Amino acid sequence: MKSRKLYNRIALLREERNLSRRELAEKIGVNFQTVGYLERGEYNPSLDLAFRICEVFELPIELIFSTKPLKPLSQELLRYKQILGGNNEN
Amino acid sequence: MKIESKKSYKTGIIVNYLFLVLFVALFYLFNHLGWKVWMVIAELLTLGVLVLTFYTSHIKTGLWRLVHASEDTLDEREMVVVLYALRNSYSVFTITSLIFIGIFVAMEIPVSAFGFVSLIYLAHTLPSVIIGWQE
Repeated sequence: MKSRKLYNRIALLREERNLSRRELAEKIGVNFQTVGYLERGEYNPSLDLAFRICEVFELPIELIFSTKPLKPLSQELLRYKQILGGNNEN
Repeated sequence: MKIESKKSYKTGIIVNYLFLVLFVALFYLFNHLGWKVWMVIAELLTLGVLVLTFYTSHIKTGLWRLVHASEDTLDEREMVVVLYALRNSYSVFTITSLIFIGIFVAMEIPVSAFGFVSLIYLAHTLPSVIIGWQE
């Protein structure tokens, strides 16, 4: 079965945290070239590796990976804020 | 791999396999004709090019190490890549061996240990060639 393309924010988050590919690779236990493949969406990580990436960035998996093209993170956070705001009002 | 290094890699692989074929062909030809000093020199020169292109295409690129590394030292993507290369090289090797043996049977030439060594070389280098060709 051919797997679907996964979109991710690894490159954006890595640069935001001032991490080099080698540093991130060391933290998640892969070769630094694999980080490049992950960032370009040329390799879909296993569930274990995806969770290890989430642990490094301390973010939920749906904020880093998606099966649909990802929106800017600011837009995504605004949507979360609106959901949380709506819940608080109730 | 960058486009230029990929081009030189592919050239190296083509030269390597061409010289492998030449090395085997010359061996059988010279064996049939009877060995002379210049034949030994020609065979050694062919072997020299074969070793040199093997070094530049397989050792220097790190592909040999990748294919022959133990599973514990590879990450999940590398394992996927190696498994894919091994699966495909198995098919390529089977077809090549059948053609090789078919030619020898058709020409009524006995397959010597030398021929088998060449096939073993092919079997060991094919996985890294498949990775290098596609990466």
